[in-house]
Amino acid sequence: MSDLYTLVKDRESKATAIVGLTKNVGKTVTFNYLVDRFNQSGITPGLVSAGYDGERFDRLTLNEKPRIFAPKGAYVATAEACFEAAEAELELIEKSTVSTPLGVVCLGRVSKAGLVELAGPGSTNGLRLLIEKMTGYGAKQVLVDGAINRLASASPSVSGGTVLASGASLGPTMEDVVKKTIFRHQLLTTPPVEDLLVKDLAEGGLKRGNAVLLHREKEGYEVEIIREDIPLLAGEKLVEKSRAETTAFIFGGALVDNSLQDIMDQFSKFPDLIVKDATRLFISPEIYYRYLNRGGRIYVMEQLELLAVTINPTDPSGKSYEPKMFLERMREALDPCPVFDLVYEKK
Amino acid sequence: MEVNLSKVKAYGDTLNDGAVQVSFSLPVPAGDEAKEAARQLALKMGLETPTVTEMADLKAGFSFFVVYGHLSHSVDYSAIKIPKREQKSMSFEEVNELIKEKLGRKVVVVAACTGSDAHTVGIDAIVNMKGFAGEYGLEKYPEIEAYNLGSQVPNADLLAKAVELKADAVLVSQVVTQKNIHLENLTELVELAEAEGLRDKVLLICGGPRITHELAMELGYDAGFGPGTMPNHVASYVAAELVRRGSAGKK
Repeated sequence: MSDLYTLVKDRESKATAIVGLTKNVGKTVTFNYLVDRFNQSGITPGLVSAGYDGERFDRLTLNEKPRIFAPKGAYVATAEACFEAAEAELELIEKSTVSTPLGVVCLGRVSKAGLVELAGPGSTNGLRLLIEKMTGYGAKQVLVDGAINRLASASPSVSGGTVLASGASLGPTMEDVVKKTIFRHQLLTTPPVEDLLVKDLAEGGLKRGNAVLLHREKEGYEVEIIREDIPLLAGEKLVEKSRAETTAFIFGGALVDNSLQDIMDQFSKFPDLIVKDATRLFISPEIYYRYLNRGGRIYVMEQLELLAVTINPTDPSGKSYEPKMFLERMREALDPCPVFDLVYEKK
Repeated sequence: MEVNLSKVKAYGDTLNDGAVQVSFSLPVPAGDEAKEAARQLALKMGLETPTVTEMADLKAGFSFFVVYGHLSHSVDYSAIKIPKREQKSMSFEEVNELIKEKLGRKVVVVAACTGSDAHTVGIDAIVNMKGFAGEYGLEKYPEIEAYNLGSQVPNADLLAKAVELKADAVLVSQVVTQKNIHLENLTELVELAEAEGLRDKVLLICGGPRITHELAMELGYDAGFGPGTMPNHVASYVAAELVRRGSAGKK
């Protein structure tokens, strides 16, 4: 099996997101590993965070955390206050228009290696802009550090590949952690719409409205557009507008529990549900599995490329699992998705 | 007096004497044994030549101590760098003036305690007319239209309401505990706003007893306000940020 670095490198995307399922699951360890490996291989990394990372202590638990090391030559995007306070020496290239509570995000290049605190934008538009800029200046692989349990940076509209971090702090028992990880993994790897005609109609429809119905009509489809203040409200209208010939619901924004519940209450045979990408799914496991078990199908218009899962067998606020056993259990549960424990496997 | 900033030691009577004073209670009655226990604890803290200068009987089997000692440790002050952000705050009048002059329209703010949280004290103090400690709440600002949606508001409902009211800013109050449930409720709002294509259309602000700017950034919010926040701090931020973003004729 390839190592994590090879999996990410072979994807050849401009940017890779490292996202976690909760706090303290090892996002930073994975991030640092990738920064180091890309740097060692002469592929200039770009470092940016979707939140705030690299500080010495966890802000809530006061536990000491892994810090972020920026190698010489790497590109760094971080809020002004962190840029100025970095232990690494950074040459300022540009002050961006992206603002944060710690000042605008500054772009720079590392002239002397050292620690940095990464503070980035709260929005994916901000991230996209910074990835674009860093790539323009010469970063060959931008690594986007996630924050807490936020997954938006994994959207294919931001990052070409995603590494998911999970670990002991996700739940009270190992089986619970495994179950929750399987669920998230399953949501994130929701399959793409295969019918190209349906995909085209969905994309076209969402340009004109924020929810769309496809009704079967002879050889093709009749497209019905719904437009509301926000996609969520348009999504609520789908059920009442549907007919016997309806074959697909397309959601322009989030797909939430209420919509799935409505559909299960009203239909015996479900239309296909289509969302833009897997970061639009806000569904709880109970409702999701009930829907699948009753034959329901969910598709994405653009698939999220989940490259691997990294795991941390230790919960800093309590228990930890025997690393080898935990790794084997996760590998078995997530097969064929590659699973790594970077700390254990290094030993 | 020449201070070596790379080796800063505690200061008592003379430079670099390392003198410190610590105080603590012990769950044992005051007496010679308690005094010795306090001295031994101070030694374990790394204090050299500790002296118990005060012992007080706290009754019910407790005693209180003040101990002097010398600490040999030093810190490299010159290497400490803390990311800082200066926040300028305007008064009630200044905020209203700024909105009137630079935006030329009323600013709409929607506030709520979301998810399972029912701790409305904080958000009420910021939003309600009477405010607190002599500072008017946002409802009193003539240039701000403030809506307080109350407690236990689901994130989806809050976003829908924000769009319906054409809100410029959404204020969320949450008591973040070490259990991650409230954290995840805060991040869900950000993720939902992103999924709905609203993230850049509205300022997302969180507040609560454990919220800092840095935590707000981790959560994905535009700003965060912690203990000691007054209504005018929030109003100043919202007004200034809207002006900075050029949101004048937006509506």
